[in-house]
Amino acid sequence: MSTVTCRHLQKSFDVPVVAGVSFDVQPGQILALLGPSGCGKTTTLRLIAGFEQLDGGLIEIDGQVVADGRTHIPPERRRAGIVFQDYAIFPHLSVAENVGFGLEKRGRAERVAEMLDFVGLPGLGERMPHELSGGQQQRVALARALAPQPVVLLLDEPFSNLDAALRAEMRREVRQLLKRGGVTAVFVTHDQEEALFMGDAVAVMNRGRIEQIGTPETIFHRPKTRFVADFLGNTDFVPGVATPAGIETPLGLLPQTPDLPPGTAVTIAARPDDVRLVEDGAGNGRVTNRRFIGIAFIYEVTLADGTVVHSWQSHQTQLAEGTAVQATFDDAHSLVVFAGETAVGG
Amino acid sequence: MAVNELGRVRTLPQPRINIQSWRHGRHLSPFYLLLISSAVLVSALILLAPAYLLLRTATGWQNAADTLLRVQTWQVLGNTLWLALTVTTATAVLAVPLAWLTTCTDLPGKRIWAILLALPLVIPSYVAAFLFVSMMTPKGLLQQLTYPLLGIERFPNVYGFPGAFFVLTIISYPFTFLTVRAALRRMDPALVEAARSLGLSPRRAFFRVTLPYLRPSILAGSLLVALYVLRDFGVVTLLQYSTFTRIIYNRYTAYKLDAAAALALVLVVVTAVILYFEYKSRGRARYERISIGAARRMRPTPLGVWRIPALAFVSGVVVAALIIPTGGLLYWFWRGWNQDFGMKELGAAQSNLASLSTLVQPAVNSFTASLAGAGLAMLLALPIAILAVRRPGKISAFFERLTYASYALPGIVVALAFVFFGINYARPLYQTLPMLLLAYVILFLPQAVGAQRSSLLQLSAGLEEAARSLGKRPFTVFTRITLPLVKPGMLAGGALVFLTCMKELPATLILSPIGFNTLAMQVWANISEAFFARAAAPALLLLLLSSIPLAWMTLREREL
Repeated sequence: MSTVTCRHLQKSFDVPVVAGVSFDVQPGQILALLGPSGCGKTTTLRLIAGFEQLDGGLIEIDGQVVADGRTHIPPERRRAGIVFQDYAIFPHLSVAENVGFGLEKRGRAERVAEMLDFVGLPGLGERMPHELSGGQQQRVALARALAPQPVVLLLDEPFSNLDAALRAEMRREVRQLLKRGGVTAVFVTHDQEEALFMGDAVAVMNRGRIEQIGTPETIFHRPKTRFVADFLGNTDFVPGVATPAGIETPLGLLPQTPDLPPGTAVTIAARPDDVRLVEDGAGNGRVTNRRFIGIAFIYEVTLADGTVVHSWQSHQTQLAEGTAVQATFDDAHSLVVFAGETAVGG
Repeated sequence: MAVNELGRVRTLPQPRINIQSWRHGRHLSPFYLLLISSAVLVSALILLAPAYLLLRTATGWQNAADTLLRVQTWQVLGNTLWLALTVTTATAVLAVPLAWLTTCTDLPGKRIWAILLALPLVIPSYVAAFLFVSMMTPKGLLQQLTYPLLGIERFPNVYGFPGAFFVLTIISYPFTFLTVRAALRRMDPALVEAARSLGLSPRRAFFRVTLPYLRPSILAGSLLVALYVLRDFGVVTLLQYSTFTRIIYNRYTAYKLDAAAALALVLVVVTAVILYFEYKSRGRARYERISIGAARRMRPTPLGVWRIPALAFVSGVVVAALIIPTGGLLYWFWRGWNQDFGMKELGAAQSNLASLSTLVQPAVNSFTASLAGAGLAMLLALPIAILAVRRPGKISAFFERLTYASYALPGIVVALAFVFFGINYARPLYQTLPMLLLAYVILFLPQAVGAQRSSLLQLSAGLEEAARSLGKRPFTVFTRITLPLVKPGMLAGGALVFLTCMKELPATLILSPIGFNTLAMQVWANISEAFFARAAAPALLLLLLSSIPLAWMTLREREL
């Protein structure tokens, strides 16, 4: 049985913000809600927490209906802990008072000590929040939310207030803590790298709907819609036409035969590691930009028909801007083909 | 198994005790039901005054119509609007340069100037007016003091518009000064720097960037000034300029109650129209800081040769608005003390002490009534502010706008409505302290809601939500998170409401129980009989007492 069940969630603020979102979170699983700002991911999280009232649909936490069209269990009775973007540490309370806030008096001190130990802040209970660094504040927020043993932990953009180096460290650490504690969690982010790293499952949201939900690998390699492919980044869309032999493209014939009538126009999602380059005076394109990313070069190639693709090349290949090249698909693995906005098999 | 820095195994510890803290309770939170019901109660209280005036005017409609159709009524309307317009313009012209000089330039001692320039706010209008009258009248103090030098027998007449205009301007400019100064302090220096980099001279940058940026704060301050003028009773009465408040009080004391009610209604309508236009003019553009990132301190503009004229201007205003009134008050106090000595010789010392000791009871009355009034206003404002900030929606917007609209109820209007209502429907309440306190609540509710609202807005909603998700009910969240965090802001707001309660004259005059004497009433009684020397002692005491909470707040702020 799943820990959190969401069915057809609906919520409008004058305009629909969440329009038919459904998903399940299994015990101990981390679900990442990924999407651009305004896609409804934070509202979905707040619906689960109980800070917003559902217009339609159903939310169950631990088998109990907490919200549907008629019932609205208030947040304090949902057993959902939350970590906010700005941590929302109570500034007038000490670290220990913050962590112990959701606990009954009996056994509070022991539990607070345990939790501070758990998040790696042993002995800091007497500090005041302003005496802590950003990373420490986040650990306090985590300890506070986990102390009363919530059924599910909700995290709203938890790393966006940290600088790049600390963010990477905290991602790793928080994921370890959640996994070790067996915590079921839903977290919201607009950073695809973070979602892929943190989530056991990733749900990509757009305009109040879930475009696709699956493992990070599936989402990245098998996007179901152009939006997902585009949002996960670094994707070029190459036009093509289906033929019985494969797909005709400006990069040559792609030997994939999706189940489409011949002559159907399609687009192919190609990432920089899917495109090969060879210097060739009579090639199909020209290098129009070269970007050094440290471990490699990314070449931007403009083809004769105006299509732009990118190609990842090791330092061995050095091509100047303006060099004529022949660009082809790497046939090592099959590429995702879209007819219209959605992916087709093949 | 991973091991942390301390060598201990880090797994989520399982609690050894039952820490289940999610209780089961009712569906709708009783806390919010409480908020809504008290907001409804307060709204009914606010609506009582205009509703009753309307009823009264309608039942005595013939008398009312007679009053309204008289030429004099239209003259009064003209006088009132003219005074409001001229004073508002003059205060803006005065306040913007003062705010700029004390914020954005290298004016020497600008922080002290800023405090001195704001201080006239604590001087009640009737005290300022009586000092002006006592000094500037044809045979007043200034004529007497300068006679040996100038030999002028009579000074020009200052009664009527010129005097009222002058006094109201110098006591109400601090409203605009404070709002404009606050806006300048918030302003991102990058705005002016961007304008300069686009080729604007400092002067043009001021007129094309700074001044438009200040527009909302100038409007906000001007609204406060205009409302102050419309509500003022002391200045126009003492300087004999016939605006609504003066005429209403005259009719009331002449027992022409229908006429008074009709005029009060007109005054409410005029004020409401001004409020409406102000409301419409707001909110078209956003003037908040849009940019993110840390703000830098603005580099002060060097005044150069303009330093001397700037200092002369600033100190001139301080002398006219603060030094002369305070000096005058001390002079009259000293003269009153000596006069008694001269006349009664031996018994004089005792009689002086005795006359001072008669002030003890009024002082206690003023202090307790204002404290209770301010406390009650703050308490009743709280539900409206919480609903407006945390539960925005149609209902809470209605409550908030209604409180805001009660700015349109001048003290004399509320007092009159309560008198009528008390005599006819609530005899046991008539001329009792609770009724006076209720009038204070209506009068100062907008101020109290404003203070509560801004301190609640400082508090991130996430803090309350985090507490809810940790299993606490709304009421517990309010007492353990919200209240401790907003307390400083609320106390500061309460101190200001207290100050205005202390100064309030017409409502106190009309509604206070028989035998209940306050400092404001004491001052007024003596001024109306032209016993300037005897008015000085209660006026001084009033100033001192009303500054106590403000001073206390300022000292506490230092500590924090």
